[in-house]
Amino acid sequence: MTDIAYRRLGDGGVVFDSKSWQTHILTPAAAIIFEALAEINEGEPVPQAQALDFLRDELDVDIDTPEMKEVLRSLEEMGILGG
Amino acid sequence: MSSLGGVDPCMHGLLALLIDPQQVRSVCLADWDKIIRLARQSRLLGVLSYRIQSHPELLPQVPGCVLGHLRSAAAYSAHRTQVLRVELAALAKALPAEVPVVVLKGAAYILQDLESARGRLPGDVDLMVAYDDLKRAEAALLGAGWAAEEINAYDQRYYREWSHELPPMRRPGSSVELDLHHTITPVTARLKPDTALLFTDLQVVEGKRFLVLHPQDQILHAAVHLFQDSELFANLRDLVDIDSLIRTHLHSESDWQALAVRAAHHHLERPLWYALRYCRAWLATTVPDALPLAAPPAMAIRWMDWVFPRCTLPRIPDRPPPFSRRLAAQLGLLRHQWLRLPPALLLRHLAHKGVQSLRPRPAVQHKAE
Amino acid sequence: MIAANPRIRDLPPGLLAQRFSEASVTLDYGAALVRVRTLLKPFVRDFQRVYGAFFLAEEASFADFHTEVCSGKGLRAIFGPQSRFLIDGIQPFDPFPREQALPHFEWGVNWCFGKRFNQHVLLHSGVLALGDRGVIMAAPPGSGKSTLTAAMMLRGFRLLSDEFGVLCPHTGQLWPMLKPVALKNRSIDVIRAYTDQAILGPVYGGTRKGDVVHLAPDEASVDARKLPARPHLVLFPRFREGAALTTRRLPSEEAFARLAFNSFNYGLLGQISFNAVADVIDACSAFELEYSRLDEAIEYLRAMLSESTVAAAAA
Repeated sequence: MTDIAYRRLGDGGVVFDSKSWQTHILTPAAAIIFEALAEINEGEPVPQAQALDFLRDELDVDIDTPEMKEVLRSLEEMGILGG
Repeated sequence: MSSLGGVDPCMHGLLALLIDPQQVRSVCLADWDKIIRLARQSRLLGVLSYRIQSHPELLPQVPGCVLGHLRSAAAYSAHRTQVLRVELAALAKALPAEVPVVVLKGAAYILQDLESARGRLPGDVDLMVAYDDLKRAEAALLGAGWAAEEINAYDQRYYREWSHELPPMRRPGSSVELDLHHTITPVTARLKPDTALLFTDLQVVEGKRFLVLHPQDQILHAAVHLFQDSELFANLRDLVDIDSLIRTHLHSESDWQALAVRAAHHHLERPLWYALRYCRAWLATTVPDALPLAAPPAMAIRWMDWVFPRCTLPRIPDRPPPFSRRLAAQLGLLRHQWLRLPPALLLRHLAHKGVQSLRPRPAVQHKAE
Repeated sequence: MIAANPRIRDLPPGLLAQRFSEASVTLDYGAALVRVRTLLKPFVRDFQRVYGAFFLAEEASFADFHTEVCSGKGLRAIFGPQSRFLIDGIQPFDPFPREQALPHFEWGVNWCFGKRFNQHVLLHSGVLALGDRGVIMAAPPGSGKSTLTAAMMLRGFRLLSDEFGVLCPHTGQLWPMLKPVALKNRSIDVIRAYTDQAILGPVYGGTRKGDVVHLAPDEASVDARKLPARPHLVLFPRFREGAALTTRRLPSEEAFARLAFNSFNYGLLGQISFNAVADVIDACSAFELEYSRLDEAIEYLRAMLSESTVAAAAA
């Protein structure tokens, strides 16, 4: 997590990953998920299964849409989400 | 300080700042103008920037316009360092895990996170594998998308038979050139280090897939690169590397003794002797007096004292170089060819290059950027 | 002090040519000082026109860039006179025809900024201001950005830059990088028809970008070259023939993406530029603006930049 800089901008957000020097643009939905996972991750990537349960059950997110898969893949790249 | 061959007085200013950033207090704006240009010419602006910015208390003494260029160089160096890290990660993935691969020079300083890497503008990635692993490593890289630069059959043969590296390779879309070596000097060169010893004492870098040379071999490699495997041209940066490696790796009298012994073992006393001479004279490196290193003949030293500063030190390019500098550059080039190739080959190489140079050349790439 | 110093347009041409030949011309672009040496007469003539409102920096002992505009070498130079641009003795690109020495120089200076000025985030955008309230106009080439920039200056906005929006990552301020505005092809006639107040240089035909004419920065912009502005508004303008003026508020993350990825050195600066661009988006409202009538767009922007309107729009 220390490699990740996050800025909330309006309803969305932007992330800088200082390991890869990549910038990720988060739409409002992605920003909510990012913030939620960052809240529960405690410095370690959140295990995939646990994160998916949390998103489905607590946030009521449909995790099977192509957009959501894309967001999850980005989060995995950033090390927010476990493999 | 030994003579700097009639260079711009601001050259002394640049060296003084590299040695001791506290000197910023006494630099006037007109001198900064030249020092920034000289530092950029020699690819040392980032290093100068790092050394000055390591002393935050000095920054108020640095004029804003100068600080801007220091920050610019620091940002560019950080960017190139990141590009190199990404390249090393890609290489780690592409190379077979069971082949030991050694990272050399600038990329090795980054891998070890040495002081020498800070602010440095890294160039190519240089890797070394044992001769018997060369084909395998090359095949793995070609399989993973690296491709050799387009070169003609003559150069291809030159690299394969007489050089110590394969023709440079590049991954499509990457700005980093990769040189794959099997030793640290050209196979035809007169000075031949003990490759077996190099490989025996390789060091593991914690958490990394790559190996690096023994610290003393890192110093010797930098010295042999500067004094044998280069054209001596605008190479002050290499001398700064050597100074920095010495400060990092050598801590005691016995370290120095061991370095001298190792240089003798590798037959690299001569390049080390010269490197220490100019490090001491220009960069105030502390070198013990009584080292068991044989000095070159007095004539050779005089020759080198004339050629080396004129070739190595940067200059303000507002006017064409004086005759002495052009002559020195030619001599440096000749010496480079002489040291790399036995005389019979030298004739062949020069003759071929001579014909080639008459043909129209593609636009020059500007590496300094 | 400045009053005692004549503007470049008021210098005797012979004196200017002499200063150029001695390499004692240092141009103050605001964010950067550029030293220029040249012996080329066509260059000096065109330069005096489009840099007319500028001053020669007196006794500038420091310059950020040391450049030279010189004639071509060898046989080629006899058959077709050429100009070459050098920075620290390096020639970054092929020679131009000698009559195009000025656009060649402009291009060369852009190259210097783009390559060696990474102490700032270099946004690919025009920047103008009312007082210290700046508007960043970022848009891809061909969207009419330079035309709108030129027209805004001609209607009393202060010009900071046409091409390089210079954002200082340490202060968050926008610095002037005040160069002549390069008008291309159709926009040349648009600006000629717009006002007779515009000071334009000669038409350079058949450059890589077609016909090019330079609009000289005005005195007010030159006099304020050392005054940075605060980012207030991020605008993505688009000219469309016959269109009514429409605006669309952009989501912040989209504005971030478009501003960042349009910049010259966003990727190079890493986290430095990430923070700087995020600060800009935080402080500004961002709009797409579609227009066909310049004055209508300009009056709209004037209203947007007055403080109360910005606050109301952001609410």
